[in-house]
Amino acid sequence: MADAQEFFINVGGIRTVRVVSCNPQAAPMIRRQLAWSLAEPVPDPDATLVLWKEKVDASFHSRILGIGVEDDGSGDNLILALRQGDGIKPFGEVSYENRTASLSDGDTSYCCVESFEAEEWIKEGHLFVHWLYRVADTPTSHLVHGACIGLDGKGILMCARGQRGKSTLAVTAMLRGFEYVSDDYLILEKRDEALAASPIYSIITLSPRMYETLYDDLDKARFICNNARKDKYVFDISGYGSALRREYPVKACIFPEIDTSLSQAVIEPCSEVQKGRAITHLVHSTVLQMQAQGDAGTVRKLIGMLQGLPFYSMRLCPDIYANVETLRKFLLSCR
Amino acid sequence: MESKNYRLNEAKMFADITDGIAIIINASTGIYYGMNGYGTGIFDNLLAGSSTNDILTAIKALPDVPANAEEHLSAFLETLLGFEIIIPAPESSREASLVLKDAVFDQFIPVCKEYKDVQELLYADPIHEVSEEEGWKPEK
Repeated sequence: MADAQEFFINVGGIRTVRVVSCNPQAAPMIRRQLAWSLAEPVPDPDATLVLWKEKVDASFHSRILGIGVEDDGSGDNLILALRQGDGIKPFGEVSYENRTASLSDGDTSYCCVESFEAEEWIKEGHLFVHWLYRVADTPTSHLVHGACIGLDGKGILMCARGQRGKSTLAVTAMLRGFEYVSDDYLILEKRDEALAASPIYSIITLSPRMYETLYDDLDKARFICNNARKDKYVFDISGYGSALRREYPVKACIFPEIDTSLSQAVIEPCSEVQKGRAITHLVHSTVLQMQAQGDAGTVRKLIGMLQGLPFYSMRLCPDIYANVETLRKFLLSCR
Repeated sequence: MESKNYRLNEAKMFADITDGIAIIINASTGIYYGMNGYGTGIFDNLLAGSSTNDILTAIKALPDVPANAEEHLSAFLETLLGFEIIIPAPESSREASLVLKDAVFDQFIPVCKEYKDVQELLYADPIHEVSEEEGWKPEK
């Protein structure tokens, strides 16, 4: 552990947790990815994640876990589980294919990955999200898959699964002067009757086409690497810290859908059915992305956080800057 | 089968159809309901205003329809009513359309199941965003 480095992370203002990196190669990526969540050290962090580099293959079981498991050559994940009453509770997973292994022991989680190279690490980016999903799960808070931006302290939460334009709208809005929490994952916390959103990541991914479109506005973004599929670029956007907001009040939800027939975006109040669709998108997308337990209690909690908010549908036109200006007018007209 | 119309029980249920699969959530209990592709097609037509007769006509127009297709449709509607996903709606008519590929894949048996933990649904019907290269994990 001579090379171990510690990082403390503020999880939406509700918890402070610690990442212990046993490999110096991980440190730059942690700093870039979590720049907006890094916190001062605390003596008693709420949870700890230990990261190290280790070859994860069929022999990992006996080398690390001390259990003899015959490799059947299928390449499937090995799920380690404990029997609890009538059920089985997974507590660890070894994946040869993704070259990762993770285990949880109370408040401490352990995860080893085979490579800390930037591209490989970005591929494993969900590692933090999965861990923070558990950490942020309190009676009044939750990590969700959604985007949040706003103006003058009036935040809007965008509920949509992938490919609905929420990330592009959030990033473009930030570059055009909006207050910004996240384009992808965030922590929601209900305080009394108010909802607040906080960021996790200080990175974004852009398709090459979107990078070309936004090039002139991206002066403070720093290229990190390609993603593993090499179809998107990954950027450190911590240079836009002046736009960043934490514990940002969410006043409304927007349900975006792309409509290529439009020349201008349209924002309208959602019908009850549309509101149901928007909430289903956010809840389902969150559960899918986390590959996490989505028990009825968790689903009820997420619905309870959102249900009291006004919902609007936003049909996006192909002009991303026009979409931002429509959203600006809408927010400025809201009291 | 007596022709009827139904609509989403929006006071209790949230619903979305994405990529040909219906996901329904009971807003009060947090319980999930998932449908197969053929069931989703029928559900989508119901919500769009087709009567059960309109849907049956569309089913019977598909090639190689099994003799018990009507029975399966009735059972499916009973299931949706039992879960309180749909409620009776005023009479209306609209030509229904169904995807043959889904009907054949699901052997003309529409299914709606209750999942008290979403994880069960994900294992049962992995509709998540999987890429061939990356497998289960969507990329950040």
